[in-house]
Amino acid sequence: MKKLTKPLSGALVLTLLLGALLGGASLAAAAPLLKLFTPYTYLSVSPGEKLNYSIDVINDSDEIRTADVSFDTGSLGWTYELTAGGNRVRQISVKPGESQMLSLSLTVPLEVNKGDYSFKLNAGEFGSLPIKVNVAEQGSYKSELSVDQPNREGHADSKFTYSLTLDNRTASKQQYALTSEAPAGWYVRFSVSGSNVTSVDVEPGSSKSISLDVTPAQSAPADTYPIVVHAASGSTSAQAQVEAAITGSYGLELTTADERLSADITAGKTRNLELVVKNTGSAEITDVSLSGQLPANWEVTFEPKTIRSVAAGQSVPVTATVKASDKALAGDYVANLTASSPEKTASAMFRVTVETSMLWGWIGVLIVLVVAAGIYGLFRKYGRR
Amino acid sequence: MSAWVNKWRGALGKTSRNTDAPFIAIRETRATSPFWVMVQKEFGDHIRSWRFVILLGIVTLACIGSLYTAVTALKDGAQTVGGDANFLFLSMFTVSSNGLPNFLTFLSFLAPLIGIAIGFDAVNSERSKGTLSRVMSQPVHRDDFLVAKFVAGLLLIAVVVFSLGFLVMGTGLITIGYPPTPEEFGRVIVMLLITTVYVGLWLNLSLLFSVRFKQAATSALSGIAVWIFFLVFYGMIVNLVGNALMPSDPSDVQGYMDAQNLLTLLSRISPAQLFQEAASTLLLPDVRTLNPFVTQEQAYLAISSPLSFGQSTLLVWPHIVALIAETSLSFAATYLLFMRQEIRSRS
Repeated sequence: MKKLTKPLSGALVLTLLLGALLGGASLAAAAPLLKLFTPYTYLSVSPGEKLNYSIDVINDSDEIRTADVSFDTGSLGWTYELTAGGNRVRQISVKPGESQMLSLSLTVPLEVNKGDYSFKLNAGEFGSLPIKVNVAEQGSYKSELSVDQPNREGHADSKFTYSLTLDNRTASKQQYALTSEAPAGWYVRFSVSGSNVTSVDVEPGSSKSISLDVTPAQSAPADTYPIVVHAASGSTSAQAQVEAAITGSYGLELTTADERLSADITAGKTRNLELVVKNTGSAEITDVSLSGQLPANWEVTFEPKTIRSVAAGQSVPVTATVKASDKALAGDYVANLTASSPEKTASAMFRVTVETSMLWGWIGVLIVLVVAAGIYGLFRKYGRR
Repeated sequence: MSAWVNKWRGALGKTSRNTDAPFIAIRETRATSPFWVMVQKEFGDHIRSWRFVILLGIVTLACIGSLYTAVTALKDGAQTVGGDANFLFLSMFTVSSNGLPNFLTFLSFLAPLIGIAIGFDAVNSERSKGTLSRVMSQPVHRDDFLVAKFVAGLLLIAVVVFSLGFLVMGTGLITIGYPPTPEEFGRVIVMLLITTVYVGLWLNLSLLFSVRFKQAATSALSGIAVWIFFLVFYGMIVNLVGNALMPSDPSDVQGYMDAQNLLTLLSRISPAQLFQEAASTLLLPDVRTLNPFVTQEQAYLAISSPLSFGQSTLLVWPHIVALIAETSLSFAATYLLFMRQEIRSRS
């Protein structure tokens, strides 16, 4: 009977012990012969992380104890590795009064829900060690494309550079094709470490930085343009959106209606030049004032003197009235007419050919005629006697 | 001169049917009338005279000399002062080398001699030989005699001047190897016309002297005196006047300019100066003004570029007018003097 009751009582004790162990550490007063210890039994981790536990197996009895060790992940199926001395271990023996160390590495999967997870390290008849893991954030099994600073501002003729980070949060290596949705006429280029690319390979769990160069269309009007960037592999895809805020480009041109930059003028007289102030940029230009650098004692007036605004791509006709100095020499002079706005300045160089007034020429003809008339008078008076 | 009269008589015989006709009928046939006969005769006499051959020889030699210097200078790659490579053809007339004068200078110096030589004995020799009264006894108008002398002389001068000009142009074609542009050709033609007027002025002056002085030698000497005066001494006199007029204060810019302008005006009384300025301006299209000063205001923002033909002509138009006026006035004076003179059979 005694022989019979002994294992029975042993089983009872074991059950009690187990209950005590499960119930709380405080119940460990009913000390088993082989104890399991690890200091951090409740850790908080992120998905994809790897946890390393070192577990002491302590023998409090005075004889060698041997226990089967196993790890129970329940139905979760997380990967783990139980090693001792560099090898996988299934059974461990501990000398009396000594302890042995077990290493447990537990990998948190990427695709995991937020919450607490419980595990047990079983040591056969000597009970088990409960371990709790708190997954602090929602895990994912996906790719992620993030932008450091998604909004950039510049003129239409500047280049926008964004730095993207592509995270592969999947379990396998992925090859991503990079595409973008930009407005027509825009030029988008991906580059990795200085080379232009159309696709990138990313190892699982790692990331790659990609730089995105955006060249806006030349005449893009001032606006904010969203550009969607896609990174797609066979199984996953990610997208991000960057913004290019264009302040518009300023372009001003001063020319004439027929693009001819030369004119004739009679000394001391005026001449009208039909100018055209053209906005060649993509932003509106305001407060254009016209001025001229002319030879000394020349005058120029503009009609209108100032232009309140010129819309992008539009042109405004201006009449410049140039008055040449009456002492100007015959021949060519340079007249520099300028249209200036706070944003941009344009100038046109005119070659003005000064012609001598015909007045003196006619006076000369008149003198010759008077002399001829005088001689004719002489002929009349003396000619036919 | 008797041949002169005989031929003249023959011509008169052809038109004798008009002698009794009314005045208007004579005018109608004027083209073949005594006037043109006289012109032809006068022209022929000049061409065949030794005097003209010698003069022509001198002038031609001088021109060939200047041509030689121009060709040498051009072959050495010389650029004219203020000249333009675009007007290489014109530089035939204006460049020189080895200190020899260029074509224009020769022309302004020697061409008056042709005028003086043709005109100095035009009237007084006829008068002293008695042919004048014989001509006048024929039914010709008195003024036709003088006008024929002038027209024949001017035609001769034109022939000489244009021949020389075309000689230079021809040599230029051979030397440079490309033809002149129409503009260059026009400039040269106008320059030659101005030369003709200029020589015509000297012809008129010597005609005046030949009417005024009975002795051919006196009239020749007066002509040459005027010639030397204007070409040699006048410049000196103007310089003397200039030295006297110049303000003593060197900082008196306005006074200096006024004096300089006055000097320019004075020197332009000389027909030689007028001719030289007019001709050289026409041949150097880069010349933009004939004033001695270009003010800072005028030069500011000016581009150095050649003037168009019309503008160059307009620039020297006052000179041309002055030359024509001087020529006309001296002709008028000659005319007046001649018409008032008495013509006797032997004076």
